[in-house]
Amino acid sequence: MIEEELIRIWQSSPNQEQVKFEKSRLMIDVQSSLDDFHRKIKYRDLMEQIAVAIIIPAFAYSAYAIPHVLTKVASVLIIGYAVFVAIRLRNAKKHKPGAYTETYLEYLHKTRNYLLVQKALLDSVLYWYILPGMTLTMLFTLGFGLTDRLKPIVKMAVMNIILAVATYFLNKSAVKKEILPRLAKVDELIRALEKS
Amino acid sequence: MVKHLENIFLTALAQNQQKLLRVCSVYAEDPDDKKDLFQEVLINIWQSMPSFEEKSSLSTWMFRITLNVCLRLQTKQVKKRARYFKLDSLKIEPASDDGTYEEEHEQLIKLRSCIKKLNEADKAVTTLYLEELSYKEIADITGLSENNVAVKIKRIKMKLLTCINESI
Repeated sequence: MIEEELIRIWQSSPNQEQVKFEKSRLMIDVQSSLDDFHRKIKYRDLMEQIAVAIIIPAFAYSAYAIPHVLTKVASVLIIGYAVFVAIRLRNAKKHKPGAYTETYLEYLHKTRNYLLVQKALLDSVLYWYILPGMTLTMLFTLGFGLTDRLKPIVKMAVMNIILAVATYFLNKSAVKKEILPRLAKVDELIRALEKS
Repeated sequence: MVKHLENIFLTALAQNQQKLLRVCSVYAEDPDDKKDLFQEVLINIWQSMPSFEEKSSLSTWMFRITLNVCLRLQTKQVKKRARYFKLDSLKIEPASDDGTYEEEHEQLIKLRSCIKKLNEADKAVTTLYLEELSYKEIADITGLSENNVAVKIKRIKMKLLTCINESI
């Protein structure tokens, strides 16, 4: 048997085997997109944890050192608020699907649930993050008294509102750009897999 | 950007999928293993697409990834990664049932079984040689020198011919 014959035999299979990989491509696409999403969530949670780690000692000190009662109360409430935010994010993280521990379909259903939890978290950000944060910051500022401080307080309030509006719309945009397209992809893949 | 990469990926895959599949076949124990390995190859190629630097041709680069995946994730390890393999995400099926296929298929089985008897490095060189890649391309993919590739191929050819003749 000559070597050309070997090559011919080796290459005799091309037309005999048909590869259908569309679903596989979709899986790759979904996984890549989810990995990116998990990285972003990890980064967001890390930033929040750093903020909490700074806020707690800083406001504990202000509660101790600043003589105004309202500021002391606001400082303690801000510490409680920071802990609440950290817990809220941690609870949402608990829904993240574990790697390689279940079938792919189960993993997708868990991923879908995780995306919905993250969506609910961002959709309600006004009530558990923005409004309490804004109120407590204002309370802290007002604790120093209004006498001769009206101008800086108004400035602070305006900045606070701008920040709140920006945070609100950034979260809305994150739901639209980061979560909804991924949910659609996961749903599409679940449908494709359940159909087979 | 993603769409552009996807187009390149799909075009390159359309041109090379059968060749890559044949390479996977010698590292797999059965058709299911082959499917699993090939799927892992596709995942790795797609995920590596953004890092392709055009230092070699896309097909040579795809062969390199394929061999790396096949060598690193031999069947038992691949099976552990159950996530991708529980469902029919990839189908590899015969496209025709004519008689010539049966005859050639028998020879192909013999050839594959002979290749499987080779050591891992020789298997890699053999599959690339049978895909008619040049010595330089094989050297680029395997990290061997061109001379070394030439010597190996000469030796492997003898081994394969002996093995096939024995099994006829």
